[in-house]
Amino acid sequence: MLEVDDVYKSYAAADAPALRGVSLRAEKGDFLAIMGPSGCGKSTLLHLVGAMDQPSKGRVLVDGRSVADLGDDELARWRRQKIGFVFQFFNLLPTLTVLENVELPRLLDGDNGGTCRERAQAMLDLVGMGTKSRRFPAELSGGEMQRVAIARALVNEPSLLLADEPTGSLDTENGESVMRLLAGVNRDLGVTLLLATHSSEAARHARRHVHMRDGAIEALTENPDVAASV
Amino acid sequence: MPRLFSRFILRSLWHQKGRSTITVLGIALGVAVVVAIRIGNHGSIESFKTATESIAGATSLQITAGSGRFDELLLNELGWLDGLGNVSPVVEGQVLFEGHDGETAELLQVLGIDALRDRPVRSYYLLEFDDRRREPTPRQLLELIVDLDAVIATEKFARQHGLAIGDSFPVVVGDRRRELTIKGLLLDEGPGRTLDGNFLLMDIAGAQELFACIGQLDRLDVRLHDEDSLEEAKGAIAERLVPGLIVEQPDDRFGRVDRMIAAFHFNLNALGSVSLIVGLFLIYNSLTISVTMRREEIGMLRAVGASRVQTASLFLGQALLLTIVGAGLGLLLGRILGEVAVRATTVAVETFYIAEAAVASTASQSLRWSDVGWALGLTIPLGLVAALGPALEASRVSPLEAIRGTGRLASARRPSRWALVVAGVAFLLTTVLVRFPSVDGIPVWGYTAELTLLLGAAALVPLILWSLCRLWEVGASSLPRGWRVPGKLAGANLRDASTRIGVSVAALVVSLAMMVAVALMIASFRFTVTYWLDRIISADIMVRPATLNSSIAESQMSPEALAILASDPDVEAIDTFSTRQARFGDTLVTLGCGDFQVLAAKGRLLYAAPARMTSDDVRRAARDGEVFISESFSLRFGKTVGDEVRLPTPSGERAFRIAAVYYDYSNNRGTVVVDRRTFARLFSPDGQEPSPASAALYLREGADPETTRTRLLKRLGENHRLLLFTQASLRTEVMRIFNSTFAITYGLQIIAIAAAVMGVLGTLYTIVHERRREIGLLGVMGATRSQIRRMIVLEATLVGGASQLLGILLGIAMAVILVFVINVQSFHWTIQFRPPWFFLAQSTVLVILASVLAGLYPAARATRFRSAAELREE
Ligand SMILES: Nc1ncnc2c1ncn2[C@@H]1O[C@H](COP(=O)(O)OP(=O)(O)O)[C@@H](O)[C@H]1O
Ligand SMILES: [Mg+2]
Repeated sequence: MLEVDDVYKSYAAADAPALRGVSLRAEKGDFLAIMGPSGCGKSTLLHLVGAMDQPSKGRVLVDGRSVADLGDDELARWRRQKIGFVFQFFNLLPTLTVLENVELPRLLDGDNGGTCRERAQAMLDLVGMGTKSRRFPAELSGGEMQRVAIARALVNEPSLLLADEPTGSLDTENGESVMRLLAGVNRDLGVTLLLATHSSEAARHARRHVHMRDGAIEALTENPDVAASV
Repeated sequence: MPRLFSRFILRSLWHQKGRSTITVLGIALGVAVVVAIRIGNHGSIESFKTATESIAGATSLQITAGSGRFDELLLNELGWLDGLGNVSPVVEGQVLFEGHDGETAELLQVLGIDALRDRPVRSYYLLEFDDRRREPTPRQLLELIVDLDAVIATEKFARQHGLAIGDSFPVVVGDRRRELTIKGLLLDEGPGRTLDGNFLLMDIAGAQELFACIGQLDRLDVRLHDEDSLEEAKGAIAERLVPGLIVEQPDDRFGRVDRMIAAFHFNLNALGSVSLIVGLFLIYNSLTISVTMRREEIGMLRAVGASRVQTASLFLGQALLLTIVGAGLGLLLGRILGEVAVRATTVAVETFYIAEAAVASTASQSLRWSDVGWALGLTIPLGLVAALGPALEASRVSPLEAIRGTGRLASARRPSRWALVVAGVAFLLTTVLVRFPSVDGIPVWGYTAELTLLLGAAALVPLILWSLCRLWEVGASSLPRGWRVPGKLAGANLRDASTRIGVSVAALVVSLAMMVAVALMIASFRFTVTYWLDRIISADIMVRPATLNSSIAESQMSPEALAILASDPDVEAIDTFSTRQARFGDTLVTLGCGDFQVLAAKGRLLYAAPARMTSDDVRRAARDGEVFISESFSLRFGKTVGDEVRLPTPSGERAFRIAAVYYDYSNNRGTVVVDRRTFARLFSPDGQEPSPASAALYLREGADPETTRTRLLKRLGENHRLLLFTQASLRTEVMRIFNSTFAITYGLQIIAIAAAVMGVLGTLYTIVHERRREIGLLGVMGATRSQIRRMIVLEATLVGGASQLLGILLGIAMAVILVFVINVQSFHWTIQFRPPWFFLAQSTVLVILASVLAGLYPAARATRFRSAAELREE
């Protein structure tokens, strides 16, 4: 369902390209952890897959479609319908309640009806935040905020969930529980999950590990622990 | 979308209450000023128009004397007119109705007709007249109004003042009080609609008696048998008409007045648009601040799937909302302001401008749908245009910004030198445009010149800002210790950002400049008029009747009142003056009639030409039947000493040599003054000198004006309603009017400060936001909070100070065009250029103070970056 084909990415401001011929495949329901030191190109790769940026060279296919030739409107629709994104810094709107934050992608998709609220509440229940739907982000802990962000990423039932250092701002305990939540989502909902992290702790839950260095993939390994449990 | 809007936009507007309020109030003030002016304008133009139209009835042509009334015996020579149509002679005038409380005074339009001849021209519908018919026969109408004090009032007027058929009520005519008796009530139709019901119908003889013009007529209304041949009939009549009479259509009369009022109103409107433009600047800035401060949130929205169009519409919606709320509030505020302003302008207009507009004081001042439509129809598109830039900027925010938290890197570019070329061309155009004459009395090119000047200056702003920052950086080393480093950094930061914040700063400069220019013009005008007044007022007491002169009515002082004034032991000499409207070419001018002998002996005038004018010169002019013209007449028609003016007299047009041009700021349509003896000889139908419309009293040496005034008022009593001003009280009165006009400039000052606060906030948020990482780094490198705070506050002060400096310079340049081009072209008088230094200094202090205060918010925000997540990512 995901096909990254010899992708290059250069930034105008930087001399060395951020990605140098990256190729990658993932099937539906797959769980990949992209690992490597800071600056190796993990985020860049995720952004290309998430249609937030265009590759300088090469192709990115999601569900057999390339996003390179989409206009801004279609690209935006693509992002809100196909992709769910979880960031390191949660990026919740501080003036909206938890529930309203989760409803946002549905509102953007033109869902103003009752299903909007229902879906959002269901997602909050799923991530274990159902009882705190009326709170504001400032009243939550980091782990709780990240759960809300995950609920928001899932509310439009995306086929691809991208998580960029989702535990980067959390302590070990909260990080672990967020990772377990993500793994559960991947397993129960069958969402393809791409995780970018430099922490092997977080990568423990992934089925396969992609090791990157200086914008290229060094190695691709199966995670024996997880492979066995499936 | 509505829910998205309410969550993403409304909520943040609510969270930024202060900023939203300033923006909305700014727009509201702008709209209010424009609406207030509009309500005033509309009132005066509309009421005059309906007055002319509803009184005209079915009149196709009117025959009048070019100036003043004409002898009704001329009718005998016009018998041939009956062959062309029905002819109805008319006497018209105005009386003042004073309510029982003695507080309210309203003007009533009086129409005196010959009931037996008027029928074909006008229809009258009466209340409670006859069970079946409401329209009386001519004979029945005549029976109703045959008594000299009998009037038919309108039902509306009677209802408002609790009057009924059979009641008598007092009115003031000139200075005399009279009682009139209501014999019938008109329905709100035809002539009954004149001036919103302030209308009285009389028999022509009664009106002649009332206005002391027995044997004279104002005009003949003609209804042609064959309406289609209007132009031919007009030509034919003009050909056969006796000298001194002219024929025209009722509309012509309105057109003439309309053109005169238009220039005055155009200027008021230009003033109003200044505040509107500032309102737009507020929208632009408010949106810019929102977009800058919410970049990450916008990026997040984009990341979760908001399209560009959706993003842009959200922010356009924000602008729309602010504009609509602001405009709505402005309409209400304008309605209130309008009433105040109308009262003020009516006084100003009565005293200085055009008597016709004074008629407006009787018309109701209300908010019309057209005002609402106009306010929304103008501000909404403009508000959206102002918001377009920031909205597009928002739509271009990349989703990555949410994630990486990196804005575009600040461009340290030096502003483009092309600005010099643009400014050069614009300024060149300005100097060319100011040389063009006005179009139809409206200084279109003058305003265009202001615009090119503004554009040129705006183009230069980034470059000037850049250079000023350089200068500042050099000077910063001499700042006190703790300020040196923040000072240098502030200069460098601003300089780097000068291209990007250029639009905001330029807009602020333009707003401030417009305030300065308007304040400057008003101050100059005030200075000029007070100087002029001080020079020309030589009489001790000025007298005029309670009612005013207009083209409809000549207000007069009665001989009895004049006798009372003259018989006072302390009064040594009386100079009387009367004015009337006279046709000059195809417009109206004022024909004044004064006593040149008294002028030579006692009076003073400020002459524009010739350079020296002695008492003997004045006497010689009187003897030779020469005239004086006002400066406005001279500028308007390009005439000067030695030239001739041709004026209509009862015996046809005559040429008069101009002996002098004098300054006059009481009337801008142009005045020609003749000596009273010349007037009696050439202008008066009966060879009489005109009854004076005003008088100037010269007192005996040592007499106290105030005591004399009180004594005279007592002796005049209730029977003669005259207004008496001593020199001191006239001056106070004039200053009162001016101060109410000047109050507008303080309103402008408030708007200017609001604009400065928003401008500074807008630019500072932009800079701080783009530099937040650097600011964080400064903190890491050991800069203290107070150093960072000082840096930001200095940046704010620099932005505010530089804008005010440039604003004053540009404002002065704009004022020069206003004073020497636009003012001359629309009012036909020159005024001295007098910058209000105190006001400018005060504004500068306030603007800089406001900038410092405004800088505290971004400063507080910036110091927060240090501890916050800004460095977390690295
Ligand atoms: N917007 C950008 N402009 C210039 N260089 C960038 C930009 N984003 C990322 N880079 C560079 O690309 C490389 C890869 O970055 P990134 O994908 O963020 O790495 P990672 O997420 O693995 O830490 C880095 O060297 C980074 O400096
Ligand atoms: Mg990264």
